[in-house]
Amino acid sequence: MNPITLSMFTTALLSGTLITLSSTNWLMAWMGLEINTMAIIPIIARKHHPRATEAATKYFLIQAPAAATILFCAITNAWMTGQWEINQMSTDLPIILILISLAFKMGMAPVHSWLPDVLQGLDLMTGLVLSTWQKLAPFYLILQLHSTHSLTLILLGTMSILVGGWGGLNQTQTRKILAYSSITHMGWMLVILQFSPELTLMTFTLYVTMTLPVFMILHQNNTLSINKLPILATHTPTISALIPLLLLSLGGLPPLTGFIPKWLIIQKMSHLGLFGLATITALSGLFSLYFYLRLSYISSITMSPSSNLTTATWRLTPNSIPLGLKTTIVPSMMLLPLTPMINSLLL
Amino acid sequence: MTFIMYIALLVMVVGLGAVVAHPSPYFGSLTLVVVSGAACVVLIVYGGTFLALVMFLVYLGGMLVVFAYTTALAADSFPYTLTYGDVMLYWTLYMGLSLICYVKCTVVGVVEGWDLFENWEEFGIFESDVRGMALMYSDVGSLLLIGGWMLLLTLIAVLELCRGNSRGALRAV
Amino acid sequence: MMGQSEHIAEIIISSLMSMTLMLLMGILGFPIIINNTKYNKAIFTMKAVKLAFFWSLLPAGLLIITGTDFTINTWEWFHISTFTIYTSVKIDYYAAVFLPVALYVTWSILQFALWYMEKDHNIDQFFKYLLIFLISMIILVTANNLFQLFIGWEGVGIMSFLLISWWFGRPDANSAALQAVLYNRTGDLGLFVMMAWTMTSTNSWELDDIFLHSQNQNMTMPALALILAAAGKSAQFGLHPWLPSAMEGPTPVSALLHSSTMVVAGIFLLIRFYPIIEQSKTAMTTCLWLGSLTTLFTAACALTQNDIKKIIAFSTSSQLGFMMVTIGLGQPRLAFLHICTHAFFKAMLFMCSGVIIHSLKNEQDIRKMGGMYFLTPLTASCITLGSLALTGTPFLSGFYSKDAIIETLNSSHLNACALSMTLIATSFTAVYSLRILYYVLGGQPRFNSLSPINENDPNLNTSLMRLAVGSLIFGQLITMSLPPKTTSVLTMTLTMKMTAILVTLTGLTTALLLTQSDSLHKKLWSHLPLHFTTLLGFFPLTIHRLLPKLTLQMGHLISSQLIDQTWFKLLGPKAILKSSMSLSKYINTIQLGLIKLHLMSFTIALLTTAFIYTIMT
Repeated sequence: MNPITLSMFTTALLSGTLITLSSTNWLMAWMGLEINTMAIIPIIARKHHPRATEAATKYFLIQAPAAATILFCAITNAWMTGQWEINQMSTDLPIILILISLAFKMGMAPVHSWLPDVLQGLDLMTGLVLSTWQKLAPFYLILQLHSTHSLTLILLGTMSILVGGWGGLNQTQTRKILAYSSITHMGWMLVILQFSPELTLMTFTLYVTMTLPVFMILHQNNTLSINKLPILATHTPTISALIPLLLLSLGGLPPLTGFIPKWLIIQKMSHLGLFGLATITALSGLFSLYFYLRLSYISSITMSPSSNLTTATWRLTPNSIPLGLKTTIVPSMMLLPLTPMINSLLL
Repeated sequence: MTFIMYIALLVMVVGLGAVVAHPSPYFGSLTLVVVSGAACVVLIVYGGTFLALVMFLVYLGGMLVVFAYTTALAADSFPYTLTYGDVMLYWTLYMGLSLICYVKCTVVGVVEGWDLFENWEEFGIFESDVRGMALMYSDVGSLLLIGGWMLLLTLIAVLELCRGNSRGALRAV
Repeated sequence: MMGQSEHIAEIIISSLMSMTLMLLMGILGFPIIINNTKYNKAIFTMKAVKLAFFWSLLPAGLLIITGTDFTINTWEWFHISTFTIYTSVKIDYYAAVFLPVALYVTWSILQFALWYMEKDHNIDQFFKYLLIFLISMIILVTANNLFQLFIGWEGVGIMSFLLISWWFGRPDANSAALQAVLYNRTGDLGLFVMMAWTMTSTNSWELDDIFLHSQNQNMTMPALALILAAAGKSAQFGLHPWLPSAMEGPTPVSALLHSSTMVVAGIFLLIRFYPIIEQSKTAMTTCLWLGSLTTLFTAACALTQNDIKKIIAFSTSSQLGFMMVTIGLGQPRLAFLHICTHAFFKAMLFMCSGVIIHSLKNEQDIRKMGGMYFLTPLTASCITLGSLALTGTPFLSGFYSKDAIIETLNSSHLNACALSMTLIATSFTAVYSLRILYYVLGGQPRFNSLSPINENDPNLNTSLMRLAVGSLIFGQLITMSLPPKTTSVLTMTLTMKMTAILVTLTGLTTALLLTQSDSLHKKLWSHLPLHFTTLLGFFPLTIHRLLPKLTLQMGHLISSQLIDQTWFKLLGPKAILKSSMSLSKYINTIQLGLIKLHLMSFTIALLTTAFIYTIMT
């Protein structure tokens, strides 16, 4: 793609989300969403690969009805109440439908099915954008709507956690696994949204922090399926040693960053007496933990089953770890001691 | 007026059903034209004359292109029409569904607020759509700018997707 | 003036007694300071016990001469909120008499052990163990406080474990020690119950307080708990198998264990707590039945054993049952008398068996002995003397207690069945004693010709003879000094008076006749089934093998089938695996890459939500 065009789309990508984030008006927010969608589609189809083209088409077809429904509901709301403010929506049906549409946009259960499908057609960096930045705008809108319909939110959240866990169990493609991981994390955010929006925001931030290096590592080594993971050890041994920690951090194991949101969310729920919900979310977190564990097992604990002639290619062609990766790996593993600070910043 | 309105609404619903039911792009886009026309009529009846005019012009231009493309791209010589069994079945199904929705939703107060727009008709000197237009141009000019930017972006995105000799529109090479 | 002299006597008695205790306690630490050979340290211990014996004669003599009932020294020890625990030493008739007896017997046994354990590498440790054993017993006997008694009780228990497993390299010794500890632990439960009961009901562990407060209460439960405790310690029927097994320890241990320390602790507990037992008819009957059952059963078992030490051990068990019967008859003093007299000749019998075993290169089977009368005349005489005393031959020390008990038994109106069982057991005493004498002393030698037979060791000779003297005269001595607590039956028919001797003689005669007929190859009952008694009534087979086997099988079944196979495998991981797999597959069915499915899910979600919302509002 022409660099000028690319930079234009990237700018549009940024500005679309920023327009949504800064608008209090449904029309503006919708416009931001549309700009966002329009900007990402050429980026998705950048390679003109059949899978990429397919993914771009699918992505467009998914986002278009979702945005249309949002606009439809916003207009309905405007007609019924006479105002366009986002956080003053008071009519129930439009809110629920908007929630579903936003969930569809973000790829949450039960309307999650497009996300693994589309993500499978992308290269990993675009996938990273799709699973982090693209979710910011709808996520912000949901955050604005949080005050009503707790049941819908909790149902969406719980279903996402469960579906994300179960869906990822049977996958061999890293991109699909990461898509399901994204679904699960979104679920965690939505489950707690009703009770503590700050916690949701924090979870989102930490999810982005944690998923960033994973995508980057996989991109750097071009490991699209589980089979290729053991090669990490020969290419980048350091990363190979670190990736289990990263993945388990995503899964939410204690000494790592990923534990913070899970800990605080479950603590919050227990404080509110929602023991059943806390138990369900905590237990269904185990499913995703299982596939993270499997990834780590294959990537660094075992050797590649196929005999490779070059055991230490990193000696011949030293791969320096990119700076961005270096800076993201550290916070995605070691933020737990800073929990009080994060707490005071976000909560 | 009410009669025309009802006819237009009926054509719209039936036409939409046909759009969804048609498997061939040829008839799909044809019925889409019909639906658009009916929609414009509905808008006129609601009082949005300017809006209806603009929309009709846009549709006239845009739909013609779509129609031309679809007929050009559609490869089948004998496209399915409404009279085919499957197509008819789906069409009947959609009609039935919309009938149920109509009966149900008019009873429940979901659509009650819809006459708000209609009621505005009585007040003011200008037509309501003209008022909205003025509002958009004067007070919230930024909205217009963004809207324009959005359209431009869409255009560029479509161009980016379709340009080049070897890799035509979205088709995998 | 009289009161004052009594007071002085009390002070002297208690101080003398304390001196004895301190002497013994001090000995324990002394060998650490002195630097000497192990054997010399052992000798030192033996001499200390000897000194303690002479010293202990003083308080005993004073107590008897001045007629002091008892003296108690009490110090406050510690508090558990409102519950105070004292250290209180009670020196009454029982303690004052038992102490010299125990010290005398232990002295002899230690001296015997100097010969017997001469080659042992840790002889000083062995002596120390024996000494701690003895001290525990003395603590138990002098205790006027349940807590103190408990310390002595457990001390005796743990020392018996250590001593029985002295030769810990032998699996038999180890299992015997474990048996001892486990059976004693069962008995300890009874003591725990008793302690808990007194703590809650009388708020004191002082014996006098307990007796005082127990006047108006139903004492069946604590009394039965006490009987359970005594049954565990004194190897009464049901908890008896550890006693014959305890023979795996060194012979001095067996001698000490079976004569004056460990096993009589249970009976002594009942004697101490007789005021409580007495209040419950159930408890008294239980004592009687338990005792008679034990004495008959173990005497019957003794009849068919071939191991010399086992025969003597079963004889001890039988005698313990006999003491229990005495308690059941309501004669604790007679039971105490029997404890004391029994200590002498039983210790001596064990020592004699030790000599013989040692002489025949560790041969314990009486069928492989014979003719020892000519080879070891002193030992043979002592065995004969001991056996005679055991069977209650007139004017030997066994006679004074046994005869009195049987007289009381005959003149009582209690359960005739239990009493006749006891009488039968008494006649068995003569039979198994005869068996030992006949096989070990009489006849031709049946052992290897090169046996290191030698009984000419001064330590051995002195100790044996000392006990022989005790067996001869002690009964007379103690009967003279024993003030009667209850009025004994003074007039009775000749038959009743002679029952003990008659029964014993009958047993003896029958046994002799049978033995002779056997040696003449006249098989009277050629198919007499002896399995019951040779296998100890199938008791160990059932309790030690069958029950654990069943329990272990059940446990194995539960742990492998129910827990491992079912819960930890089938219902746990496997179930989760299967359900997760199927759910995962089910959830992924939508991943066909078809855009219409994605849009369909959206449409369905929208419509369903709208529909549910419409219904709900």
